[in-house]
Amino acid sequence: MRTLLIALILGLAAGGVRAQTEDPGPESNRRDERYYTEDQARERVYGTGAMWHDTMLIIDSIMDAELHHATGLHEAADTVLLQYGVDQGGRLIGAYRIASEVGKFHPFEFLVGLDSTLRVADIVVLNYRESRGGDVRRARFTRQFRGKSVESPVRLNRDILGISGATLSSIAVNRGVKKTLWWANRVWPQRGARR
Amino acid sequence: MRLTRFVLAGCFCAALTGVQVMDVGAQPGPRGGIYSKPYISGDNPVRMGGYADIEFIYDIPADASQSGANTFDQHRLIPFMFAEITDAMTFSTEIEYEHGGDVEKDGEIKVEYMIIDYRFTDPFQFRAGIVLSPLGRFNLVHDSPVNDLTDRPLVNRFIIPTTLSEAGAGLFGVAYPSDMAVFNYEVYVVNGFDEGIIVDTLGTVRVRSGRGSVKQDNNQNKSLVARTSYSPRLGLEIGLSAHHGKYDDGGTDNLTIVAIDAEFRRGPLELQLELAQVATERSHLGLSRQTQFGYYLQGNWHFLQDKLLAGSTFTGVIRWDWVDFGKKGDPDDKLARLTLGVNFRPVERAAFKLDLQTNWRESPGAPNARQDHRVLASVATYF
Repeated sequence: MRTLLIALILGLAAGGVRAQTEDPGPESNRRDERYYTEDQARERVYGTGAMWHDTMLIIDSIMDAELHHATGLHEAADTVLLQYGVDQGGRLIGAYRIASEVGKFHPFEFLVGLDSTLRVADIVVLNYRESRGGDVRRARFTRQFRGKSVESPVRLNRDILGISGATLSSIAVNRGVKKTLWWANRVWPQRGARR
Repeated sequence: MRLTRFVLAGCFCAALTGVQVMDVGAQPGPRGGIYSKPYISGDNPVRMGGYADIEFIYDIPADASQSGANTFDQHRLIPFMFAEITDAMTFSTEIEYEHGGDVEKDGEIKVEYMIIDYRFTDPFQFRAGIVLSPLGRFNLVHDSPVNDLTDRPLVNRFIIPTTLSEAGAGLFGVAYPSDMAVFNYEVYVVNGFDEGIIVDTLGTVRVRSGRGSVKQDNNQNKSLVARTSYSPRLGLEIGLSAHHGKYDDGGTDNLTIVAIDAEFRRGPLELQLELAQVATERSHLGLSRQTQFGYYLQGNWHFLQDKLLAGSTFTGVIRWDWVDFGKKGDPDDKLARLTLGVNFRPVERAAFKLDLQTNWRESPGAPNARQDHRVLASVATYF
């Protein structure tokens, strides 16, 4: 009897594994809502007229460890691309990064725009792929990041309010902002704003 | 022989469970039969989840030399199911197992809600089924892991009988008047309450006892339940809701519940307020209309975030509850409760709670209102 029971359990588990591997999963709920291109998003934050250049960080394990020590976060990518803009007089007007973070299942991209003192100027969500939670793109959520610096907590229920039904996407934006602030302050430490 | 039986049984079960995701178009049986149902074909994934809680309740005795009543209560085990039938059409249900399920003396199993939604546009969506009645905010957001205290507010027990769900159909939607604001509405036609709200021959009203059937309306008059809410910016929401309709078998007397709710959040601070009034006509009993009223006011303060564990938070809670049953002179005419609580959330969706309650039962003019104290500890989590 016991043998039979064990066989039944193993059999059910085997079937379950098979079911799991063949499950279409969250891909079936994937959306592909596109709101802005990078150029459109940059224009919303900084307007036109600036010259834009890029600087790339190659992320090694030491840099990632430093990030983790400071923020509790890891950088998933091997490189971080920061864009910085200068006006006609050569003065820095700001820097931004196109952050990519996973909401509940799928990654979505958003521009984290910083001003010349490396405080958040604005957030613009470029696309969104979850079936729910798209409200994180609205100004009622993104506007609360304005003025955040590398020393701000950027944490739900502390200095950021999450969107009901989109908690994971809200946290994902927090992660992207926190990491962008930290990388920008590493590149331009003398410009880092203090609270 | 034993090994053969083992292998055969295992293969049989593996095949059985594996068949759930197979294309079974070639299976025997009539069209629409067991093997051609959509859930078997694998192109209609169902999400499962839910929440569960366990409570410990200790009544602090008035006389310190006595031991207080205490008990564990496995209060709720609530599985959820959700399926996207198409991009516009969804199915969602919550099946409630309370106090261990349908066991002798206590416990119940019931469908808490079962809704089929169809989205025409975001502001215009159709819903039918057993709907969660949009009456006050708490009735819509009542899950144990969400709430920062173990017990639900008194007003949401006696004036709005949470969890109130009713068979019906209607519309709901969301609109964005500006970049910062959100407007939500829900409006449904439902079976409504029944005569069970009258609990004795004196005509005493307890709306909780008269939650209507989802199978058969007791009269030919449907009730209307609706809520609108407006949020001018993230962190502030004000809601107005009402439930109105005939409740008696003859369809002569109205029961009307009106509720106002508000929520304010700023940083680690949350404030919640809900007020509700129920007015019950009792002409079929030869009695006058009775009005009952209640409210709660709650403040939450999140602290020590990420200190114990990454992503964790503590929350301090204070809540004041008040219910007036409108029967002046009755010893149990009014109920009041003060609750102080603290909870720890290792992650947002799970909470360890510890509450201290002080309850008052009070009648106007009564020289000694009765008072008791309780300690409640509980764990609740989504899964």
